[in-house]
Amino acid sequence: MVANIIATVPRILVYESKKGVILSMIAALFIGVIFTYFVILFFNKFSGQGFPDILKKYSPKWFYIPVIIYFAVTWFIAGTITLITYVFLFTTFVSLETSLITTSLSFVIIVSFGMLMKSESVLYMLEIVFIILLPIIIFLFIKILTDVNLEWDFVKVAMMNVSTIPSYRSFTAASYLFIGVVNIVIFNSFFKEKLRFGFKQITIISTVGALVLFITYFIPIGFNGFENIEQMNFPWVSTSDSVRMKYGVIERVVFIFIIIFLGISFLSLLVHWHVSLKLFESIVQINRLKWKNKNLIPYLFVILFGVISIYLVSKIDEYQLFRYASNFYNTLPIFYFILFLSLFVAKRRAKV
Amino acid sequence: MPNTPEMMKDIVEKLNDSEDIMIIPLQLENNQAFVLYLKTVVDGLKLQSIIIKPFFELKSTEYFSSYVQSLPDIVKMKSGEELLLQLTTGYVLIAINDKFYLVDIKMITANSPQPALMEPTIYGPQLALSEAIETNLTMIRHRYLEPSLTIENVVLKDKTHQSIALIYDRKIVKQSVLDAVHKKIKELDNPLIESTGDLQLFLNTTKFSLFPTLILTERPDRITYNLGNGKVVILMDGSPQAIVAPVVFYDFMVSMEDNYHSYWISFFTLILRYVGLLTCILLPAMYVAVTSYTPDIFRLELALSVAGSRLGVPYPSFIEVLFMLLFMEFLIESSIRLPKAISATATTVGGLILGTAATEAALTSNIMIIIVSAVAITSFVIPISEMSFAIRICRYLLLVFTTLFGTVGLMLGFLGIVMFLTNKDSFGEPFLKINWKTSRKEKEV
Repeated sequence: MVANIIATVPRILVYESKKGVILSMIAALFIGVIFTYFVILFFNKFSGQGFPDILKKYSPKWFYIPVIIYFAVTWFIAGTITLITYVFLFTTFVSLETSLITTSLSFVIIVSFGMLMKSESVLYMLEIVFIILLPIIIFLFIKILTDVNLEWDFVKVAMMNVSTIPSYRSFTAASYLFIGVVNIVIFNSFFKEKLRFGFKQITIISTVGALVLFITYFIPIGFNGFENIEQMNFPWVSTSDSVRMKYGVIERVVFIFIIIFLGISFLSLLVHWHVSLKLFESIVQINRLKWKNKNLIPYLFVILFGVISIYLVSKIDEYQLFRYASNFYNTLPIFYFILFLSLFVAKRRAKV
Repeated sequence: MPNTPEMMKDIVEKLNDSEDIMIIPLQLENNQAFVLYLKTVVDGLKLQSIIIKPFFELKSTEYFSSYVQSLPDIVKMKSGEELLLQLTTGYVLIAINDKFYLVDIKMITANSPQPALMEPTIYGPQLALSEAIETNLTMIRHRYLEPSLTIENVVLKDKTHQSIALIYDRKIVKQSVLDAVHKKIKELDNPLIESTGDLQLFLNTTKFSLFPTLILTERPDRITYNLGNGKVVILMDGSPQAIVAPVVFYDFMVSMEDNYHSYWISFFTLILRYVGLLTCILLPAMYVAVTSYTPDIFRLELALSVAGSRLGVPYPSFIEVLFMLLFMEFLIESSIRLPKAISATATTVGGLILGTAATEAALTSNIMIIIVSAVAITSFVIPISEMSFAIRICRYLLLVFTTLFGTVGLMLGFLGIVMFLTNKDSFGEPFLKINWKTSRKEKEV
């Protein structure tokens, strides 16, 4: 949820700022929470099993192989978008002379090691890094919200556009916030007990979701004005550049912002590519590729992921990134649809 | 001259007629007995008072036979290779009328508890384990008086044939860890194991490992603290350190001092240690990242100071950092072995050269001196030295990664180290993990 600032979500949202963002954000909030509820409900029926295992047990081969391949490719693209966005961001704002390939190579090396870890270790790592970084993020947000240069009049002007018909693009981009729960497809094998998604959890998620959506869209407008906000390429990062910490060791908040979000985007990338690797591994089981009793398939995929992402980093430019990311988010409802369909089929078969 | 029994003559042959084999015939009128032992491992005085004197005081061999059979140190009679082994350990073979008995009359040297030098504390017990396993077991039993404390003896199969004692509290120990330890000890096939330092490396799962997965300790209060939390302790004869398994990262950052102070003091000291750990790893790499890659991260005055202090240094920053860190490593390594007479000279030499002269010759900058001394001091903040050495090596890895990739490299390298630690596990326990209050089901209690 917090990682959406690194993905292209704010850019898409402000691009559609005159075309009915607010209603689509509210709709995305509702539908996101409802989808989360359904996903957890479905996975509670199969506690302790991962999604590939569920599909293999209850559905025929011609069904689950394309589904799992589609899911794995979707996750890979989601991770790659985060990687490319962050590398562009870093190169633009912090160090202009470092080549794109060097920065993305360092990401790829560390994430490759992380992808090959046990899933349990990925969860522990998430916990540790998130807990260390979360107070700093909250402090940053409070600093930005209470800054003198934030004009609430601009925000009010933006809020007046509430009666325009929502657009599909901003709806899918805003619902990207709630997609984190589907990572449960792999991590469900560690949840031996049923997850509780009762009233308390729904309230917490809706409140935090609403707050994050509000901050993602309205704060850049508050700093930069409503008129030409769609021309900015990195609205959020430019916004954080306007804040100064007068008595801090690091004076420009943008540097803290970028370093903290390096951690967050690294976590997001790690989880996405780890899930993608595990999904690929569950299908591709060629027994010939064994060297000293160690299965070489994961290493092959790791190298493949790395090569593809570095190639993409050097070929795509910022405008293409924006278009492709937007198209990718537009295809996400299909993903949800297929997920629910397969879970429904599996539930039916499990009872029978 | 009564004839020595055949078996004893065989044994002397098998032991290659070594200088220290003694066969003592005891004869008084019609009673006779033979005593075979190795002079160098048997306590002569105890032998005299327990075995030889009563022989001459009791009326007949039957009385002597019953006496020997009721000695507290008697063990079951062995044969073949095992018998030779027992003799070299310090057992005495007694032959009375064609019956053989083995009695344990070991000579124990170096059995006084030593002062705790590696892990000193202000409060708490000041005596550490000794080098004889019997004394150590006595010390531990003395402190942990639960009846469920179990001691198992395992004999190693290598050339030293040392005996290891496994200690655990049967009611609280985690069964999976105990089984894993048993399995690992059975699988040991090294030719020579000298002490627990060796043993802990061989019990490790991987051959090329950096971080320790077992902890060595010499303090009995740390041992009993760990026993009370369900861990398994391994002692070895001849070695004053005990191994504790399993271990998590948190155990390396905790000193026994924390149990003897009030809550906020221990909390503050723990936070201090973690900050010291972070400083030790991050500071040299941060210097390289800030001076060579992105100097404008810091506020204006600080950036100018940092950049200005490097005026006149003729080589790039990473060579400067590497040079100073290596010099500091040489200083630390040599100060372990310095004779006391020249230790003062060496400190002066190191301080002078590192401090003043290098700066004045414009070979390093002022800020680098401060960083190096901060790093040198904080690397000893970690209570257990194994982890401290491992962290020293991580520092260089992070430095290399930052040199190659810049500020991104610094943060990502640090995250990579955290990832490596989370992925490690010590006998089934995850190495680095935040300990929330786990539900009862997860703890398997």
